[in-house]
Amino acid sequence: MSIADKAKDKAKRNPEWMLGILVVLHLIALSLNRVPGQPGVRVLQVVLMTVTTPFQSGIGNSVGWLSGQWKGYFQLRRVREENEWLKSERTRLASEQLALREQIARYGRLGQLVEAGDRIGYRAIRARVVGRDVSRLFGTVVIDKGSFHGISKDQPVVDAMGLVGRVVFVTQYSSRVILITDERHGAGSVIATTLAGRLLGIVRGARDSYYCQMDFITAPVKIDNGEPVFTSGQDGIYPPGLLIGRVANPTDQPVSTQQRLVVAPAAELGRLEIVSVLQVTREQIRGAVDAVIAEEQRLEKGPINGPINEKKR
Amino acid sequence: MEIDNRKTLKILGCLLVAGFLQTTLVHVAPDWLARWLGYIDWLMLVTIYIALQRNPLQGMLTGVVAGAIHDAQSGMPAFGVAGLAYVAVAYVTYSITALVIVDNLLVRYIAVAASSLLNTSIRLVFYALLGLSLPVLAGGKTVTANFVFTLLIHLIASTLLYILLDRIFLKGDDLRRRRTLARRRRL
Repeated sequence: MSIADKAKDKAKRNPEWMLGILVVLHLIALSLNRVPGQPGVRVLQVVLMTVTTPFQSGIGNSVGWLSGQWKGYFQLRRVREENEWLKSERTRLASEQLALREQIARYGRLGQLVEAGDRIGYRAIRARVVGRDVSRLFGTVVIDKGSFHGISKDQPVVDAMGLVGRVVFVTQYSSRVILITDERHGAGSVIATTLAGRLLGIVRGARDSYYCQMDFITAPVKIDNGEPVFTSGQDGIYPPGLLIGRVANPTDQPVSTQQRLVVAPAAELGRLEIVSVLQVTREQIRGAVDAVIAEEQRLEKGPINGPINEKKR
Repeated sequence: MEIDNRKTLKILGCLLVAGFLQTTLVHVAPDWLARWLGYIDWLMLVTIYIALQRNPLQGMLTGVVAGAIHDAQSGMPAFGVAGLAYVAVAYVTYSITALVIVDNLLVRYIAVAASSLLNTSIRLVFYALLGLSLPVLAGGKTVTANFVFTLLIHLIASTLLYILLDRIFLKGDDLRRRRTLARRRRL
């Protein structure tokens, strides 16, 4: 039996196969027809395009999606690296900003100090606080200027806000300064009141405290919190008129008639960085005291303040 | 083998004549007749007849050739539609003969009716897909009218045509047997 006969026999027994083959062949022939109205386009192209477009679109979308995810992944990685870099940059900038702020503050304080020095009218040596006495609560500090720079013992030390203390120990390139809060420290002081005039006293440091205390020499009168306390110049160390601090009695006793007052230092003793050591001699102090007394007397005798002072008395 | 070749030649000859009739009869016939003749698909009727011989391969191959002749003569850009329809017709006709063992006029009518409807349906669908209209529909007839007229005209034409084809294809004994059977039914 030849192959053709076998095929015929098979086709007779299974005509469905034959039908299927013929249908497929006819569909192929159909697809080779040209599309009516479009001579250049065959039906096959249209059919193939119609059939393949959804798949193509699906594949294209999938590839696009995968590509997007892939790109996103890499972008994410880049973003992470960028984030790390930004974090380190932020830290660096923050520290830089901190340093700059510190510098600005230092320059600000320096400016205030210069202004204060100008106000006081004495020659001053600016020094940096480089050490603190850890054995006591801010009892003494060490500054980076010494005898080589012209600093000598008992010279008053101020900052922009007020009196800090005085030099107690001098080396070639550094000095130790005793603060006004040290209990070993004492300074002649004065409170200028409207009613009682000048109230003299001594400001001393208090044990284990950030405050000072003022003991009156003259009889005490009512003094409100916040009244300024100045150096009187009568101790021969501090020139008169340096601001020591302000009266700061406990809040439940706003008005004090006590013999001893609490004084809050004006200088920022807890944050000392730059100070000025005043180059003032004893003669200068004495002269200043005399000038203050003379001025006081002049004011007491003056035409404007005279009646008032009389009335006060 | 010689008998097969002769039969194949006969089929080819019939198809060619059918194709000729399909293309020229409408033009030469008077108008009143031409309107009806225009609905007759002679090639399909020949294909149905061959498929009724219970040889599916031969029937379907006849459909292929008939379709090629039809599409070649139609001049429409739809090569393959007629072939597809005729192959389907041949298969449906074979399926009917496979279900009904006896061979009588009723079976032929059933085959012709089913094939006619299927042929028209397939053509309508594929021509619509290709953006073409059926030649017979171009005259302004509706689809339903097309189905009905086609069915009727094919039933009538097949009755006459198959008598002729029986004379061509059936051998003497088969023909005598068929005539005897028909005479008994009449009695």
